[in-house]
Amino acid sequence: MSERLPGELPDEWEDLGRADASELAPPAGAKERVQRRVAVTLGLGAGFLAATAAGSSAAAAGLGGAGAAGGAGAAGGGTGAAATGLAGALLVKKLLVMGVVAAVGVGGGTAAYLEVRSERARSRAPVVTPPPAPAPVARPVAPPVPEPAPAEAPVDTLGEERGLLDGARQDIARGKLPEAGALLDRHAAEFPSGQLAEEREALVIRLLLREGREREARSRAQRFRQLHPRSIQLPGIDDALRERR
Amino acid sequence: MGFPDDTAFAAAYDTEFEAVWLYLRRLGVPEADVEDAVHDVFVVAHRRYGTYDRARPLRPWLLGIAFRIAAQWRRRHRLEVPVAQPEREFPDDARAPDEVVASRQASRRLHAALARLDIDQRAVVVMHDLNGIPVPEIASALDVPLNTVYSRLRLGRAKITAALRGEP
Repeated sequence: MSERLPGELPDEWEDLGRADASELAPPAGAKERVQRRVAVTLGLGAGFLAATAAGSSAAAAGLGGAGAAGGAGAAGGGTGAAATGLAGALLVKKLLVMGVVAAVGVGGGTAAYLEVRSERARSRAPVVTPPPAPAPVARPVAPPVPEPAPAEAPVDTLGEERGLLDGARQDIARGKLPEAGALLDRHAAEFPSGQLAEEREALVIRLLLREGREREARSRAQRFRQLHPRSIQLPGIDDALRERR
Repeated sequence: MGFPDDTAFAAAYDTEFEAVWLYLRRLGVPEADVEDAVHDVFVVAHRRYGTYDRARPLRPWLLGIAFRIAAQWRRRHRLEVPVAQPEREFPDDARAPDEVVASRQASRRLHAALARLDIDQRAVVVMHDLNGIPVPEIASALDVPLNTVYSRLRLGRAKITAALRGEP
């Protein structure tokens, strides 16, 4: 531990930190799921994805200086992961084509294959009080995503983009469909080829389904599939379309 | 200016993913949103790599970006009624039930104490007292004067100590 000059902390602090690091540790598959999304957003290829496929997530993320911190489930990752490294990397390349991502088990070096599903459909927290759903409105929804985003998008707009889409997603979950549409339209107007354009289109399709505009949703989904056949958003879109059926 | 090559970026992702995740969680980003936030941190890091001083360690710089993403998240969500977080299930948890309970209680205790800190103090205390990052690196990562970091650390620690002792 580094200097502890200004004020002391109670003795239990380090134990609390260690317990907390294991409680909040990322669930299985999260690292690979996020990695794939980062790759899509930045337009990175197999060089980025395959390079870490066999890596263990044993990074010391807990208490600095307290060696065992953050180590829940990280023990023994080294040798096992190294042994399966090559096979893991090759499999990842193959499986990515199929829209599946490989997660190399941290503990024993075993490989578990996790479908990339709609990460949001599963993980969003429940909504507090859904207001009554308003009637569908005849609103022109943002045009489909143009071809891939430019490689050097301005850095500072990501937060703004995230804010718009975050708001839209919550509005959809709460049944505030016109508000959601307004946010999506704003995103499409301000960031037509933005860093999160694919996420926007997936939300638009979801919104159309909620508004009962199923034919439009399906045709946009089809177009999305043609433009982005390997998008991480596709499984979520498919889930939404299936639920509708 | 992005990372020099994909392999270097991949190595950074591999080593730092968990630390970034945990830092965001400790700054109050809920589990439901943390994947989005981690994504944003690494996207920004990749694009900002040109501003990274390679004489300095990588983790504080990344956590500095994570702090900004967490602060943005809080601004967006400050008007919302907090929603109870469902307890995560650990189907493969090999620990004894009482260990699981004790660990969960310890985690809650820590977060109840952290909740008394404003986000600036929290950013500093977590970086220093949970990640073990030295004060000068924190000052550089957050782009604030050294004395400000010390002051936030002192105030934050006093609040945490009071909370853990059950003082108001």
